[in-house]
Amino acid sequence: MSDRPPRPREPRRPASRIYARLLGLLPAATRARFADGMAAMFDDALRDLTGAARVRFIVRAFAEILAMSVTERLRRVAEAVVTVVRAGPPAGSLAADLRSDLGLAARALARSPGRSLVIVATLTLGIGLNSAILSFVNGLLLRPLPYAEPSRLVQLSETAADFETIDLSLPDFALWRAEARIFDGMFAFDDTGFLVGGVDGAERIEGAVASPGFLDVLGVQPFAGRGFTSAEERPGGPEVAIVSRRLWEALWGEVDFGSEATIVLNGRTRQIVGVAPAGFHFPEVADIWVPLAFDPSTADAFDYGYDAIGRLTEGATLDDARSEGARVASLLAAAYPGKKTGIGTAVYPLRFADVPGGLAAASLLALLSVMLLLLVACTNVAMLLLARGEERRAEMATRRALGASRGRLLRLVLTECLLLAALGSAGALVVAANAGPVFEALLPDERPFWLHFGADAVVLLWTLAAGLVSAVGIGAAPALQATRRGPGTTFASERRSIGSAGRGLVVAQVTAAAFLFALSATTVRALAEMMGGDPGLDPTDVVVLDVVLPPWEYTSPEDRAEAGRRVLEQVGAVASVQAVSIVEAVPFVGSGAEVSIEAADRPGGASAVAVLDPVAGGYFPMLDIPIVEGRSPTEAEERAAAAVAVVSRALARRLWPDGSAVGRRVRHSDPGARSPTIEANRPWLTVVGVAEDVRGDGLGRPPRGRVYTPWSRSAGVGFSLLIEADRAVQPLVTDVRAAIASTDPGAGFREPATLEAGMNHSIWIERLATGLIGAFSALALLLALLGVHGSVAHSTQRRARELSVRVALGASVGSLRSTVTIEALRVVAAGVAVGLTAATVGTRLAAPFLPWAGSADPLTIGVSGLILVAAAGVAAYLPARAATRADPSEVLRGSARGAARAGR
Amino acid sequence: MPLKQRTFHVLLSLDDGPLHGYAVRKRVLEQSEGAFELEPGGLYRTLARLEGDGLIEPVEAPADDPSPDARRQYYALTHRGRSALADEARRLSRLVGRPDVAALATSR
Repeated sequence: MSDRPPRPREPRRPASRIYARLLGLLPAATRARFADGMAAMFDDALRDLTGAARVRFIVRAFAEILAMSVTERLRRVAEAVVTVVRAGPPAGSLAADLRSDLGLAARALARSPGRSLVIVATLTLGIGLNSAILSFVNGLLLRPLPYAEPSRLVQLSETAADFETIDLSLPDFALWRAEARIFDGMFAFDDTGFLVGGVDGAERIEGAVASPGFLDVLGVQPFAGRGFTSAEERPGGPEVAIVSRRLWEALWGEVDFGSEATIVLNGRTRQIVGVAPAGFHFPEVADIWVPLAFDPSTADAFDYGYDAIGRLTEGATLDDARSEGARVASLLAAAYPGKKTGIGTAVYPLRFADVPGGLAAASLLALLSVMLLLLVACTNVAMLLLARGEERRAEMATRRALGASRGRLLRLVLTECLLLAALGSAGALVVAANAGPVFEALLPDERPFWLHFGADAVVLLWTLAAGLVSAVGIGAAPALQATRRGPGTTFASERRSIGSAGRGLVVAQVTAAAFLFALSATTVRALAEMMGGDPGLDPTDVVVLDVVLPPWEYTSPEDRAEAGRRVLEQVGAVASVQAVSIVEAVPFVGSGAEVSIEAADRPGGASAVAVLDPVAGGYFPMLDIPIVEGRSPTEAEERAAAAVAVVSRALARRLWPDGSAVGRRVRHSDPGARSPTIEANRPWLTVVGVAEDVRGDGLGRPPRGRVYTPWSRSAGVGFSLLIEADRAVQPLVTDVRAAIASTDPGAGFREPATLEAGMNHSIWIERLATGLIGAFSALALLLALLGVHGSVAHSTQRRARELSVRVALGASVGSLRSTVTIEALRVVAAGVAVGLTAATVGTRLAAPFLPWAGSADPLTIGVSGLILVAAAGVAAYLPARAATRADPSEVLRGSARGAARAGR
Repeated sequence: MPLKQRTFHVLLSLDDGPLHGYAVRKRVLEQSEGAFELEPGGLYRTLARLEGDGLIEPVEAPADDPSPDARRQYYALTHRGRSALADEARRLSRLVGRPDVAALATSR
């Protein structure tokens, strides 16, 4: 211990005590030179300054120390690099020296194969996960869409107060196309299914309707044939279709495209005029496209059911498009006076029409997490290399004695690190290349057709960059160690649980692991709240089957309602079916039409916006939705398509806060028209019951008001069957299909699903994000705990002699172990504090992008901190216990023998 | 070689006799009319560099210190330091004496 100069006699102020503590953050060499002078200056300043100047000085001095703790260390690394540079060009040719460096490095790694393997495996994991997540982010956000100049493509939609984003109606689209000067071309489209006629019954194929010119606007060339012409847009024009490459090959095999191919769609024959290029299934899974034929003067101006995409003119920006949209909105309001006044327009880049913002945010969060994981992995590797560096002190000393310069030794160490990082990167590329199929399995089937994940140039570059950064990250500490003059303070210092070099690494590791842990805990808590919350219905044993009856066989609403009733009877008779009902919007899966609601005894227009939910059959008892007041419609009311309704509890409370809803009257707007005004001729419905609220939009969203009407009032040929049966899905569905096909051989079906799966799927993004972050945080925590364990183990090994002496002299084993553990925990506590603070701030900043996760609340932070410190305590205690368990006399004898052998 | 402003101020503060860390800060603050507020770390690094360049040297604390603190390090200008300071002062006053610079100083 150096001779410390006598301290001043007056008591130290708290600020001075803190400053003295902070001085401990500086590296030892800097401290030895400057600490005394700086401390004296600080005390003098505190004595001399008052008021605001004093506070200013204290704040600036503290900030300076924190900054210096980093810059001083960087300065030393820079000096080490300068040493290498000053070492000058090597004696022989550069190539020969590199080869010899690599050879030496490889041999050095081979000498400790176990440790080298662990290091390479750790780096492969760290870099590999980074590359994998980057390929996810790349496919989602970075890789250009497979269209010509994709940045010029935008999606259009309309907005209306209180309603969520709505699409366009066809006359609105026609107005856009005629008036908007900002587009080189635009088209409308809607995805829809078609029944393709066949000898043994119809098959449902996914497809889309699209305006002529859609291929031109997207900039896609057909594989064969042509796109649609404007003649084909007129109703009654030629009936044509374009098929996808894979559909052509499925139906016609290797036959070349000719002009005679036809296909029967929805009962009508269409001529196939073109084949799309391979892999093109715009917008999601379409295999067939037909022209969107309409007459602007007769089409329904309030059926907001179509999407539109436009190509901006050269040089036009999104803001230009938005101002143009405002102009068109005012034209719309003028064209339909009083009816479209609340309508606005929205324009956004095409990519974000397809990739939900929540998924984009989650993928970026996963990327941040995996980068922190790499940080932890690199610090772990650095600690392993430092430990190995100590063991190689004899080897290094021999090399120095044989004439190697410090620069040469540094180059040797750095080459080893580069070699390790290169091996890790190679392994990482293998991981990244295989990650693609995993991501595709994690995403739902309804996704943009262009979404693919694979290792392309971007991923390759990122892997190389990560490899280089890792090489620097793992090499900095060992490089400093190699260039130190003489032993100096070592990795495992004589007196502390974690030596000074290791301390910085452990703090960095623990900070990153704590941040990730708190982040993960926040998302887990949010997800648990979502999944634990009552959805309002019981989806157990309920299968969902979408049915489409041939539209040409049921042309009147009464026919359709009768067909639905018959289907309910037929399916109800199938073996093991307990209950069956018809819905239009499947809970959690379908979104349901939004309508404005007006209450009879509250004149003056609409009072609320709610979801219209036509249902038939025993819907409420089947799903265990309690009817809290009144009753559900009777079978007679359903048969008569009576003007009755059931409202949800929240809606009832909103409309009639004072009394019961039963017996009151409501009416709603036309489901297609997102209009705040309700037409005078809309019928009044009598409320017969109030149902409990249901989270029909997904577990992650609050329940909206719902109006349940008898399905027979608005029966369509397409509907969803909910079937409750205690039976495996496939055999059940086979029987159900057979039952329906017995009277409707032309009926089409979609793939069945369970309602439970739909419920879980409604929060798939949240589950994916929580799962990924949880996995990374668990890995980071494991690595950090290994790091703490390793540091303490290493240092207690070196202190074995000192500890044994203390035990032999009567020190209690228990108190020694606690001392060692607590010293280590002080280092850990610093990292945990910084990490948890960063997580609190970080989640608050990220809240607008990840609304479901919320920010880290004090309870989560507190519990995380306790868990982290407890785990680290165990990790530190175990080696302390092992070191003090050995018989002291054995240890001392052993070390004496060892000392004699080493000739010290 | 022209000196950096901070360096000039630090050397200038030592012109009247040896000073320690905080005293240098106080003197520089007053000299520069509040433009330079020196922090401990930066100041000591500067002092170490000046010592390495031979412009200042560490000296014993004066005997008449009212509240002695043996951690304080006093510095004094060396011969080289004094002449570097004088050279810079001459260079600066020539600069300020130039008609265009003087005009800027008095303009609004």
